[in-house]
Amino acid sequence: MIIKYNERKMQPIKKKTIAIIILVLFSFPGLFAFENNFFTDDSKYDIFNSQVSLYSITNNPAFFKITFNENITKYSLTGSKKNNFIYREYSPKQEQNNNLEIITSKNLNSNSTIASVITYNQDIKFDMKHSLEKDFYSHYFSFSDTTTGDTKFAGPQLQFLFNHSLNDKIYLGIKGNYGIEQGLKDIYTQCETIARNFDVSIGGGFQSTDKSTVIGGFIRYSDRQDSYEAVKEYMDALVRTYVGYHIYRPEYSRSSNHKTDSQKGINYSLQFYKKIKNLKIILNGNYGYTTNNIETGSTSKPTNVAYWQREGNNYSSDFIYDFGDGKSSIRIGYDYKKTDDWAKNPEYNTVVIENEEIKNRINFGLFMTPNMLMKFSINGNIENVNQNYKEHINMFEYTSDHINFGTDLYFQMQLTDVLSLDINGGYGKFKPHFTWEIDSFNEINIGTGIERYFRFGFVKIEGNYTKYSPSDGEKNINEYQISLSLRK
Amino acid sequence: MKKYQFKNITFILIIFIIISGCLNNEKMPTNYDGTMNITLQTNFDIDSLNVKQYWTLLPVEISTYNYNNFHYSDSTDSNGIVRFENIPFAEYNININSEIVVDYGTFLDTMPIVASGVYNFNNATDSISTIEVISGGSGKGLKINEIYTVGPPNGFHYFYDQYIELYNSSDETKYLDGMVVCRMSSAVMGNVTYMFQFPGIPLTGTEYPVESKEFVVLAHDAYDHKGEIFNGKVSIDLSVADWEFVNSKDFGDWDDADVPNLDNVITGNNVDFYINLVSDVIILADGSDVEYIDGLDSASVIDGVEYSSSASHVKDIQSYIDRGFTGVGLQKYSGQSMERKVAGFDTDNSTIDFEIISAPTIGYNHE
Repeated sequence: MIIKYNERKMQPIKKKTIAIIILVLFSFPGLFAFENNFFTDDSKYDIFNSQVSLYSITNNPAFFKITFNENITKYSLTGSKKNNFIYREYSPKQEQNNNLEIITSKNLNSNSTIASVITYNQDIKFDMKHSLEKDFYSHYFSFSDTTTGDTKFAGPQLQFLFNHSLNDKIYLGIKGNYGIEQGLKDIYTQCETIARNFDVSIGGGFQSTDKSTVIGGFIRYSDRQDSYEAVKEYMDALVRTYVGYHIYRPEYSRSSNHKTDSQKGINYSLQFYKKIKNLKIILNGNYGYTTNNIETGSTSKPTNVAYWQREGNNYSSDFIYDFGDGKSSIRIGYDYKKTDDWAKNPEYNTVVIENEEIKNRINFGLFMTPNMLMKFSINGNIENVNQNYKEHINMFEYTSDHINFGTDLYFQMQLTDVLSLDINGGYGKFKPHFTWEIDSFNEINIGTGIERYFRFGFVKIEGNYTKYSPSDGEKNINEYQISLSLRK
Repeated sequence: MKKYQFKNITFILIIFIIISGCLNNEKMPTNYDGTMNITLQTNFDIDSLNVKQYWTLLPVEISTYNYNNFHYSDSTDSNGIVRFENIPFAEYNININSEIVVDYGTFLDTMPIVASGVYNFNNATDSISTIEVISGGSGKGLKINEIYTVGPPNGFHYFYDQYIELYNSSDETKYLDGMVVCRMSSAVMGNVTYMFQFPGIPLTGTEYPVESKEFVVLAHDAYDHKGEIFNGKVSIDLSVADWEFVNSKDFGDWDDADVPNLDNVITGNNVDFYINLVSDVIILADGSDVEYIDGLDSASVIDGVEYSSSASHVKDIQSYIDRGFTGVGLQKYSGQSMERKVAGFDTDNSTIDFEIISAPTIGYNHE
């Protein structure tokens, strides 16, 4: 009887784990749907609730099937509010995000798996001074005016994955996402932004007969087009295009000012996986670059104001040791990431901005399943960040060599046959972007979730609270998030 | 099965190659911004001034519209050369606005000098560009000295405090009798949008004199816009204007009884002398030709100024009226004005002669 009980419990826990893994993993392209980083900025160790996997580390669509093989559907509705009691000059004072997401994964047959994520995302930035960008500081050539207002961004994103095994050894996969987002500022210049994003990865992999060795690779192509249109009413709102964070080009007075960003990127990746008894070794290498042409002015006579290129390498090695019949694991990983940016003034073919950033990070974690009713994980990372940023026009230079660290804790317990509870928490310290002019932030995160089984599926309600406190000041940034989900 | 696999792998490889070919990265340029040098050699338009005595210590300013807050100033050396080093790559406006003391043998006198030009990088490493210094102004006479068009800072489209300022730069008295002030359309001299005329007999009348070095203000509405509309905060008091544009066909047009009027000439025009806030052509003519249907006789033109806020503006008026245009960067409802660098200074090129000033100067020239 006891054995039967455990088997019955095992199923929902396993499904739930997979659901959360899928949610988080698919959230990468979702979160970065309008970023198009040439490699997904790996937050794989943010997965409090799971053991890291081959797919979560490599993002190779050919490996999805190797990691997940369950049919699943999940609907979730998430709302969050962020109060920026400290903020940068061109950042909002308050932010609100509403998100509706539908995640599905289905095995079509023994060889093929299909998965998708459909998202509708709404972002509202309140009291955003001057910026016509969603995030002024993430772009070297940001568009601004002289007004302060609220801007609402909204749009759907569709992500799709197809994984097919030709036989037991060869796997092929394709993953893509397409998204559109429209933004509108509620005050003149009533700037309207339209972002369109297309991203596709095609991968292949080989798995040995005994499944102990896997090699693979993928290529990723991304294309993102942003357009901005700022119109004026009474007084000119002095539209500007920044070059870096200190210098700007005043745009000519005209009835409407336009900016277009045309970003294309490519990413090559190779992976190697080896299992030796209980030890798993995952090696992952990435190289990629993006090019970005920025034009401003009128639509009929645009001026090519900048060309920006980013090149990067990302190499990681992870060692995972399983114990307790594979239900528990301990791991350590090393991650090296180098990013090189340069931007030029196309008119004079001169370099205007350079940025080099090198991150060396060590990750470690422990995942345990003491019994079938409980799960527990603890993760940590420490990274050294070395940055050298230069604006050549006004001879500005910033250099930094600093350490960031973070830890997190997750605990899950089955309370009754149909009810489970999870609690998570985290603490970290990191040095923010130099435009904050803050030495470091302390980040504290706590959250809890409760899930109940009904005949129609698992319903979960979750809450999260995050606080960022600067090392030198009393004001802080806090964020509240609440989420309701149904999983089948 | 093997054939099936081969077909799929080939297909994937082809897609890889196509995707790889979609994008090319570029090599980083070898030149860095912020390393440009400009060397300027001054040269006077009067040969006798081209001696070391006058070359030395001329204040030279350069500024760019391409970026914010980039103004540089320096003085010429004893060879009349000034050099600006390690500045951003951009288009620069060069400006000299000063005066020199000229030795006439029996006495010394000050002479205003002005130079203006545009410098654009031409890939010639460290080449020397010549900047022509214009001495004492040229073509003295009645000039359009200031044009204020954009209105004060406001949120309700208020621009009725527009005015035009004239200046007599000659040493003799000039007469406004019968003269006309015109707004021209883009169809150059052949198309007059508005024509308003001073009273009196053109060419021979002597009722309305303008003394040497005197300013004359022609108000859109001679009214205290600052006090009555803006509660003293912005705008200007034009009740002090010398003349007022009044269309006698427009019964609602403001008319200050104490200020004499220029009246509309064009049949069917029932509106006041409105001019565009950021782009237009204004002409002062002697009034010998008021047959506006066939345009304005170029021989009757005394002075003309074209302005546009856009640097890419294509000139409207013929170059013998104005070889350039002023107003680049002019902002609507900002309180800015366009005025000659020195009162009456005229090279028939508004690009050189005028500059944008932050606030209008009624009846005087800015320093």
